[in-house]
Amino acid sequence: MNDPFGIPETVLVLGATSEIATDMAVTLADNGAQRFILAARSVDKLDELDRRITDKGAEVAARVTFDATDLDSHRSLIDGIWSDHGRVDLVLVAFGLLDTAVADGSVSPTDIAMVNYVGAVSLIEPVAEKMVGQGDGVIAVLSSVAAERPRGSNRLYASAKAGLDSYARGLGDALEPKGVRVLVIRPGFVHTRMTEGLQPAPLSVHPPAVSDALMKGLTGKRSVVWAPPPVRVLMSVLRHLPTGLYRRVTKGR
Amino acid sequence: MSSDRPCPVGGERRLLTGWGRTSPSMATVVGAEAVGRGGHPSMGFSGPALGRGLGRSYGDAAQVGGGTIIDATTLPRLFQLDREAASLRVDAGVGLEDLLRRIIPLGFFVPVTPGTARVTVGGAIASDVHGKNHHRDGSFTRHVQGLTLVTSDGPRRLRPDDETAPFFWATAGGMGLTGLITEATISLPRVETGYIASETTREPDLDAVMRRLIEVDRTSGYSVAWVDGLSKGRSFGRGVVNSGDHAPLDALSPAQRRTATRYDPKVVSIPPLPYPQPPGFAMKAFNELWYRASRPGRRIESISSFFHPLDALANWNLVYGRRGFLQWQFAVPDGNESLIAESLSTLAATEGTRPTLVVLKRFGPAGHGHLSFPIPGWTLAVDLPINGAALRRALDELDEKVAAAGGRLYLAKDSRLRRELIPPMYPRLDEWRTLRDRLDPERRFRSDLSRRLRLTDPDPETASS
Repeated sequence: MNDPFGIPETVLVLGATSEIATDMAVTLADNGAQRFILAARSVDKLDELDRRITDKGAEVAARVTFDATDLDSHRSLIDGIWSDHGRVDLVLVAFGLLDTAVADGSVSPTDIAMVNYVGAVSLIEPVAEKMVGQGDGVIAVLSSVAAERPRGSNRLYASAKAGLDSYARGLGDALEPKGVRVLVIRPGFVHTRMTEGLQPAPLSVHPPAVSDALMKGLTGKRSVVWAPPPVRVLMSVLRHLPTGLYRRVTKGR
Repeated sequence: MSSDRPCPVGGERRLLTGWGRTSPSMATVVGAEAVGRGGHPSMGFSGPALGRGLGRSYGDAAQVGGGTIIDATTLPRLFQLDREAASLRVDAGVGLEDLLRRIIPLGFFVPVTPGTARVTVGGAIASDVHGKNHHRDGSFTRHVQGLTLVTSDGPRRLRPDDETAPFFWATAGGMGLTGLITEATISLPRVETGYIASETTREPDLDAVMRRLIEVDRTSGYSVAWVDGLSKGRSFGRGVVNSGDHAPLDALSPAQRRTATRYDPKVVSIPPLPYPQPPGFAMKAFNELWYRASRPGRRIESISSFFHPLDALANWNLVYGRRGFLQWQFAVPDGNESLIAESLSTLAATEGTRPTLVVLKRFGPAGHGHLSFPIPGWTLAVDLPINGAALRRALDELDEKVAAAGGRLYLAKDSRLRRELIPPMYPRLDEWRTLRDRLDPERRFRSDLSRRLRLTDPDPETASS
């Protein structure tokens, strides 16, 4: 269970190779989280994270391979994790693809929706059931400010995150009376390998700022947190701009 | 929380927390009728189970996420008083406040009361609570002559003075993890009145507070000190020492004599709103006020004002804000006085932390319970509104010093102790586990606390949830 300071005992990271997820996991370990289950598409890329978590005095209890698009495997994956580990206090949903992935030809446009939205929902549903059954828990979902309003260049990512963000908030409303919290994290532009070469938006941050938002969300009572916090105000303005003006200010982005 | 409502026998899913309002978890709550006095808890439900009384433990001791909570307060009231022997047989779900209402007019008192009367007899046994008379009378279970414990094997009668004694002492302070305590027989002290002849002194610093506590314990049956956790410099650790004894009838004024055996505490509630955490200046003002308002001198005061001043505000736990609070209470043997000063100065210096209500007391000899908290020496309790990571780290470091000093934390208050420190703090843990497994071989009785601290299952992976 999460202690009075919001720190979980056991954490499941879905998408553990992402730089944002890595930083969150290390931050959690540094703040007292004790056991980690790391799930990623390729678990052999997790050695570095494993070492950093262990250095903080926490334990990596298991590494699990998963494919966000293999929907049929998700329920048994989650069942397996719960039966091996008894319970999980915090699940970080941190995997995702950007529109730029389509450009290298490795994925199709619908794959973005498949991974970011359908895959996430497909994994979160059985997680939610397990948490309701154990009587408490937190599901932290990595959304994006793009969920608030898309741009031409990130329409696939933005629309999928909008779906995920909306699903997560609704799930939070449904689970709140059952003792389970859903925390939506909306970062602005985050400098990572995935966004390398893209033009940073205003109020851009590095992964530790997203971890700060997670920690603030865990210790507090809010259901949506922003990284950095002022990006909330910026998005509130952008969301209400008339289309013509919005296109002009976001031109070239 | 919502635990005051009566609940149906069939069970109701409810979100439960301790008094500190942190770490909620959902459980199915059933009335104790579902178990019955001679019943069998495995009938009617499966999975982990735990008894719960009035929910006054501060952390996660009286909740079990995903399991079944047996609400002990719903039992029909058994009340068999043997006036000759001064012993009382009652349901475990009866609260001390209700008990006091009935027994004070008959010339009896409870053997031990904690700082609130809103605990049940079962909870008092499971936590082996202590009170202002610990230096003289020990903790609650010293005064229990017998109890009925229901486990998945059925009911058992346990006594401290026959062959069931090991099981009795595993249950006394056993945090409800040996089974459901359904009823108990306790010895009651006789009193002439419902008043306390008390003396209050104000002491200028921590040394003076400690000296005064040692001094009054030689002559007074009851003693406690309130310490200003926000005081600095020369007045660091200043405090108010209260001591007293039951007032005989001839000590009362004529007006008091007319109500000599009345016990009728007045209670008010504040609306259950999401209060913000009180700012630092408000807590400082509260401490300043408490210090100044504590008029030195001798007086005759009521049971409730002497023992349970905070009970006057029914839901005072709301004032610490929506994030709730924790109470950090430890006991250390004599010779570790410097750790008390160090704890107070560390907490006061920790970022964002304001030790608000600080209570210091001396403990007499320990009881026999394997997991019973009191050990001879000092005990310090500090209320701490939940704040940032700095407080968490500061407490972790202080816990290690407490363990190194041969001390321990009070499980009934705990919500955050690191489990590695449990074996050094409670060296009889393994002995307790063996007895527990004999009482409850299926390990049905569990709590969020027992899972967090690995009290019942050293290896969590084997736990089915």
